[in-house]
Amino acid sequence: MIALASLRERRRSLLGTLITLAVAVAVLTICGLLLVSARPVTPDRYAASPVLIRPVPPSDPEAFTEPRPWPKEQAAALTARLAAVPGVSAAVPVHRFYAQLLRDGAPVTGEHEAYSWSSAVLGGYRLAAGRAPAAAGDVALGEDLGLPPGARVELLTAAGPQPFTVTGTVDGSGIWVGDPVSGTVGGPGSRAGDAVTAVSSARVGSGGAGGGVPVIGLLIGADADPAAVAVAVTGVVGAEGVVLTGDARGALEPVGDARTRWIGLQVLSALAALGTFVSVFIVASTFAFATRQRHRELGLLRLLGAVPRQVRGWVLGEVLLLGLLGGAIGVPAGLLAAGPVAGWLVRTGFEPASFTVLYQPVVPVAALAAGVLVALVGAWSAARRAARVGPLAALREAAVDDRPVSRVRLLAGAVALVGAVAVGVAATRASGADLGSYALYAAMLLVVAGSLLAPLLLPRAVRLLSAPFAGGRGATVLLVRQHVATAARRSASAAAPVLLCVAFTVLIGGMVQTTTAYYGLNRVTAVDAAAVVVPDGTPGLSDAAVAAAGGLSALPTTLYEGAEPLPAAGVTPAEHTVLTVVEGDLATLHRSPMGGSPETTSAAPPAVPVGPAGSGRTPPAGPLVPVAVAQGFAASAGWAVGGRHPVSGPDGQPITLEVVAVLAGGPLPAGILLDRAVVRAMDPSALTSVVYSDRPVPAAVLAGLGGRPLSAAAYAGSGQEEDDRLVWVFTALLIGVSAGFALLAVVNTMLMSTTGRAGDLRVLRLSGATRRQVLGLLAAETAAVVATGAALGLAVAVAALAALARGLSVQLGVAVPMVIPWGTLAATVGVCLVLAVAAATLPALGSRRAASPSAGV
Amino acid sequence: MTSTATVRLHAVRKTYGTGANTVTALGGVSAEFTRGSFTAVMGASGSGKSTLLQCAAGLDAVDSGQITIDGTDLAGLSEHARTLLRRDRIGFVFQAYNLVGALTAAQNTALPLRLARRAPQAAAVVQALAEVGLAERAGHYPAQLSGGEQQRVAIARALITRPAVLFADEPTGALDSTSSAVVLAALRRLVDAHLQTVVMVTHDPVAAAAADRVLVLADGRLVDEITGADPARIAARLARGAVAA
Repeated sequence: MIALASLRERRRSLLGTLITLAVAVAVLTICGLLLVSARPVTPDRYAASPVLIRPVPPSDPEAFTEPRPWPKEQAAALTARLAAVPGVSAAVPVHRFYAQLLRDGAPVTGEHEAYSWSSAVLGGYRLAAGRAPAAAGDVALGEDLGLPPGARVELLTAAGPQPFTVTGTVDGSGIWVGDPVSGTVGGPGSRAGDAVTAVSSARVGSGGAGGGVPVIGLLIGADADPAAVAVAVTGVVGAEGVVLTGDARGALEPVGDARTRWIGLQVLSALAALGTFVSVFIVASTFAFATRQRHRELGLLRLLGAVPRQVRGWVLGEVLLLGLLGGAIGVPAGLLAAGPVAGWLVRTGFEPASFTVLYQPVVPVAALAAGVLVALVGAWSAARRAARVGPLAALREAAVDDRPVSRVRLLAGAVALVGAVAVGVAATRASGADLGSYALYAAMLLVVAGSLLAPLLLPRAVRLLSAPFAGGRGATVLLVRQHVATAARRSASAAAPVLLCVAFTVLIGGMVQTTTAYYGLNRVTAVDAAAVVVPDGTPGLSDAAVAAAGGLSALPTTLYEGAEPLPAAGVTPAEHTVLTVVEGDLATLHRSPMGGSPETTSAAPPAVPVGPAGSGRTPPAGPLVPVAVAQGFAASAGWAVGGRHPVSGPDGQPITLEVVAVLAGGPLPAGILLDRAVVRAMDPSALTSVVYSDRPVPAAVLAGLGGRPLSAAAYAGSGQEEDDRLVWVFTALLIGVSAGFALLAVVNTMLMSTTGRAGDLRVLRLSGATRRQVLGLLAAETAAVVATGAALGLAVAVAALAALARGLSVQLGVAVPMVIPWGTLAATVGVCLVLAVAAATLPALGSRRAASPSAGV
Repeated sequence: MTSTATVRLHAVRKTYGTGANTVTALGGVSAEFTRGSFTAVMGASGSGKSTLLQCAAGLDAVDSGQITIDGTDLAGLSEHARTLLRRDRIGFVFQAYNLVGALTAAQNTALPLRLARRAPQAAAVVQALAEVGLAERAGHYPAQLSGGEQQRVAIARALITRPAVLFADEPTGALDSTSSAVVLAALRRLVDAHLQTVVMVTHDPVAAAAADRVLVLADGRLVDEITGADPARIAARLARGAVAA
């Protein structure tokens, strides 16, 4: 009863807390729904195949690399064994290569790969018109592209644009070409009329380069039980691959989708974490504030016989009701908003196009529970303090905070501070993606420390800030100084949200600018280029575009040590000018014994992947490929000049790498460098990310090739545009959410503060202060508190940014300057100030009780 | 040592501060308040009258001496036990801030019962309010009541547990003379009709005149005791005491 009645009585001052909790629950509902929904979706092209087999994926799912494909011989043998399993009506190996339809010289985005026609059955696709592609130069296109059979089209492949004739259209989306092997079952068949091979090896000019097989799909008989077939198939596949059925087939989604989903996951997790943290923080400061304002009332209840446990129970009961109410508002709001937010995430690029919201009932329940938990955690210390109020409090005016900082608070503040320092130190040793998280955690701890210790710092800071004005005769400075000093905890409650707001906006803004500054610095210094060619509407640049641009470039690919990916890149002898050799010699790097043909010597490739890197004394498996390795990679992998390491190529075929040189650190395209032609021979779909040219590149030479020239300055400034755009949206989102919450808290605290000081203000008016002076005093006091909160927030952000910059410097051996976003800082402080002053003076302006001396009790 | 007094103070001493800043609030006060007595405690500001009340009610610990309420020695009680004693055996009325703003008059009245987790009987609540003449205002919130009415609700609340003693600290301090008279009459009626023990701290001779007996404190010591006096005589005795002191 007391909790409920008290809620009703103080509904206006608790409105801010309620809104905070409702928004937090809504954010948690949305994030929860989207996180639960963010699961891989089975690509349409495999929808009709109940059982699919893929090679063993890398152990780290965040590598976002395709699993090492089966070499074609292994795939053929496996396909034959699978076809023999009872119940299996067809086993279809999937062949694919990079291909994009060119329309009016511009690449059509969406489909990036051409598939072997035989795999169309795995998606249940049928010809809508025309005939199936069979010969080299034949292509079947999805109906949605609107090109009829007989149309002449150009497909952009890794080699460059190639002419094709549309032989048929299909009732689905995609690009299909003739099969590399005749039939879908059985051993390696005739390579005559092998369209995939013909296209993909157009540059290499040799057969058998159709790449490995990434997937084998099964069709099963109408009377066969998919589960039984899956069990039988698992036995047949053994350690050679992974059998996927049902939703697990989502693992076959494009690697790009997986990466996009991962980014979305980071965004949503960060939002949920920040929302939770900020809500706890705001509930804590609001309830701490409310408890102080209710000091006398609580004392009265104690006087009338309430035991401390009862008082604690009321505060927690009140906040429980508030949490439930916030949940009752937040959950429906979150459910309604999840759909539009999901659409926005897809449009922004944080989620793949296949993303849809799954309304799992567990999410709203969990969000509601989380909201209540957040409220309870936030109010916990206030409840404890309320329970400590003695009965004598009812008989006293509590204008002076007896002990502004309790020992527990001091201790907790010190612990948070030490924790922040520890996390900050850890940040300087953290790697890549973790660095930002560490900086954020350090800032969170510093915000907590700052807020806990604010009652200690605030009066001193205000004295310091107001010292220049202290000599005047006016009462305002005196009153401001005294008020802040005597009501240190109240002022600290008001300053805390400002601290939070400034700390996070400045930190997040500064974090992005510091890292961007580093990458920009890195790019400009790394390459002495006049122009840079970047992909335009394509995932990478074709060989034709690279040739047209005429500069330095690397061809990235992936080698495999067992199932684990090793990023590598193909380079030309021209690249040697920007490489620094530490040990060995680059002279033999391009003398590949593979020649033009990567044909392996072993007739039957091993069923199990080649074992881990040998000592160099093991007999080479497959052709010997000379490589140069980065110093860092050599150190971590234990590779040295002269060492031989059996690995698999991007086509799954075994090769042996021989280290001929170790290269100095600095920006290298990959840890392992090898001859560009060798990469092309092994990986017919490899695309170049960027070309650096020492002379300007006219846009015209890239026409129809899916590339775009940029000046070096523009490139360094814009950075990797797509990633940067995502990062900026991410940043804006985080700043928006944290600043939104914090501003809510600023307004709420100020409203509560002024409303709770009606008596004080009346005394001032009775003492002869004019209405204008009272308002001026409120404004000055608010400004002092906001300024101090902002100064503390800036200190927090700068400390965290310094840790971040130090971490980047240590990591890369280059001094990275810390960037403080002064514009963001000014804007944040300005908004805080305006809102806080408005919130502090408006109730006094509107309420006669506060501003008029004649008002009685 | 046995006693029939409801509240008994024996050689109670209470000082605040340490060293040179030591202030003696009570310098060895002994007094007894028997059942059905109405005692006013008077004295100048700083004479120790509020401290006397707070110590007698167990709100503040004493340095030495003994206080018993209804036969229970406060010295041996924990904070929890003292809270329960306050709840069950002591009623309070103060100058202001007496009521919980969020609760109606009836809810405020029933509050001590609820705090004790006893189901409040509606009839008992109405009766308590009726005794102070506010039966028809039961559903009103404190903000809708006059100062005198609020004070009478506070008295009704103090009565609901049938306490051994009612402590009142300047109950008329914030009221005009008309409201004061009504509040004092309500207290008087409790003493006469229910043999309620009342101890009231006041600096107003008019209020003190409603009591049977007036104890005068100065510098933490009992300096005078007046019985059955009217306001003018009390004022005169106070003035004389002040001159003598």
